[in-house]
Amino acid sequence: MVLKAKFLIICIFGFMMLMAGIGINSSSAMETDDCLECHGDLSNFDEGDERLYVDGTRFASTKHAEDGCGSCHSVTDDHPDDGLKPEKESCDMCHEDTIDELSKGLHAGNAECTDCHNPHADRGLKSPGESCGMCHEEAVEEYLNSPHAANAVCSDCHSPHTVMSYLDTSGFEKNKQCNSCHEGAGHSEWLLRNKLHMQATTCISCHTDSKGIVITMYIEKRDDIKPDKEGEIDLATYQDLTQLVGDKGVQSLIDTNGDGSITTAELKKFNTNSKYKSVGLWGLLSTKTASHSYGIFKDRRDCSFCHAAGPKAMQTCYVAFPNQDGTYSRVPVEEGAVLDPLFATSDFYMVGSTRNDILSIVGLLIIAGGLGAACLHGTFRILTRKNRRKH
Amino acid sequence: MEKPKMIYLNPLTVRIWHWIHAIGITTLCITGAQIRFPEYINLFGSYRAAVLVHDFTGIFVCLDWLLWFFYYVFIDKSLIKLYVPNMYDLKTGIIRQMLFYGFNYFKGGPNPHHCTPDNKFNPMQKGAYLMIMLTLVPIILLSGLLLLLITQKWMVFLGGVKIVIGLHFLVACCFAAFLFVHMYLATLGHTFWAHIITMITGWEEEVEDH
Repeated sequence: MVLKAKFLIICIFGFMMLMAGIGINSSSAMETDDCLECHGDLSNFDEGDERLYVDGTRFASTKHAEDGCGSCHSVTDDHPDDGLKPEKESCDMCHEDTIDELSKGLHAGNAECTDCHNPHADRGLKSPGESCGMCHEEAVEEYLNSPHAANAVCSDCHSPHTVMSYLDTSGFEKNKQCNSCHEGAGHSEWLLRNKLHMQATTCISCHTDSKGIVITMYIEKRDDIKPDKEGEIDLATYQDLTQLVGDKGVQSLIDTNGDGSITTAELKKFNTNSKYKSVGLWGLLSTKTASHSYGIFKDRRDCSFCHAAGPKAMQTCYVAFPNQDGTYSRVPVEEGAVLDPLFATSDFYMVGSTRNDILSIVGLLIIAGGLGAACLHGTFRILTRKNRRKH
Repeated sequence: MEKPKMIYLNPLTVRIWHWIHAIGITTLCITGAQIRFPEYINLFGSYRAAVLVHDFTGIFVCLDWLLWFFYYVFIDKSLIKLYVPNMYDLKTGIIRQMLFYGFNYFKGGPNPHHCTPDNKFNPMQKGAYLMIMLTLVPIILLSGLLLLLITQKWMVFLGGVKIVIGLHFLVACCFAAFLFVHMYLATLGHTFWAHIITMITGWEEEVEDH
């Protein structure tokens, strides 16, 4: 009797397992061809449902086609009559690393994979207008109207999986992006001190109509500067600076009172502190905001575009500190610190930036003194010429 | 009519040096003004042209200063004798010369200083040229070279690049002022052109005081 009962339980369990197995099979029983019978014909979809259409020819040449529709979408054999909504695609099953990367960037929580990628098409990146333009409409429109748009798409410069904000990246990293295509860009044919300009300016400061020039100071390592490396900028990392300041936080290197802004006095203290001899500040001309209107602007070849502005353009300055994750945090510096004649930013200078009213007046008085003395003596000379004729 | 007595005051080397310096400093003042105030001054077409002319002229004037220095120190060996005021100059010479330029010249009085090849400069000139050639010219040339070869760390020991450029600018203003005074004083010979002709031919007419 007990044996019969055990046999019955096993039979029931076996039957349940069999049914469950059939159930599992039934959800993946639908093959790609079956799916495309409906989804491969655009006329099957009403207006607004076009996204459900899959171009079978384009899909066939994708890597995803090898796995089949069922690898991402689970439906029953009764689909679409079962009334069930198919499960959402799950990119992380195969693209775990990319998803991980994405989760650390600005796009995390703001964009889904399919916002930019079309998994049903070969080279499935959507056009800038369809992908990036969905959120960054103004930037894309600006970019598409620039000559650069014919040669590069958004992702050639911005990695959408590790996307960071404009201020999170250093100006040098931004320049590296440009250099990946424009390495050795020929500025020397017209630009004096070519290397110095390239080291002290972001490309976008001149090649976009970005507004608001500011000076951003980066902390560079100086202890390993060798004669053959003179002029090369080697930025200090978070780890490098942590070694100098310990666990007080890298910003305490300069922002000693920790109030989130840097005074001229704090800059001087940093620049004259022998403990920090191994690091120094390197100023980079950058812009407050980034425009995507890339191009070559003729007025930038007129040196006075930057050098005539005088001290007014030099008032706004920041120090960019490296963060642990490789991004940068900008801390505002007291207005006018760049113009301090002594140790505030002793290595940063832009022709025109010492043009202040006091110096100009003193200079003018010196010249006027010389000219005035000659004129005064000359006047008396003319008035007294008769006296000399007598002799 | 008796031919005036001529003395050979300025050898060819000195004249070459002088005119290179004259043209060089004038060019540097004008290009420097354009570099500093490009929105008001544009005599060289473009800013780039002004910078290039300024740089090359600066280097040329540096070499010219070296020519002056080596000539007077090693060839003519007269730097100290000609340029350094002696005790007489300091005690009475400078005052007498100042009185001449300030009063006696207008009254028609004689110049207390008589040029000879060994004593070309009056006490005031000695002091002024000593200051200019051994202080101001080296300062402006060295600061100019530093700005030309501007790289990190070079300027820190001088107080930073802004101190160097400020100094360069103020000394340049002194040179501009000097140019006006120098050109005017050059006309104070016994005739308007006398000193200028001397600096072209090397010969000066010796003037007898009556």
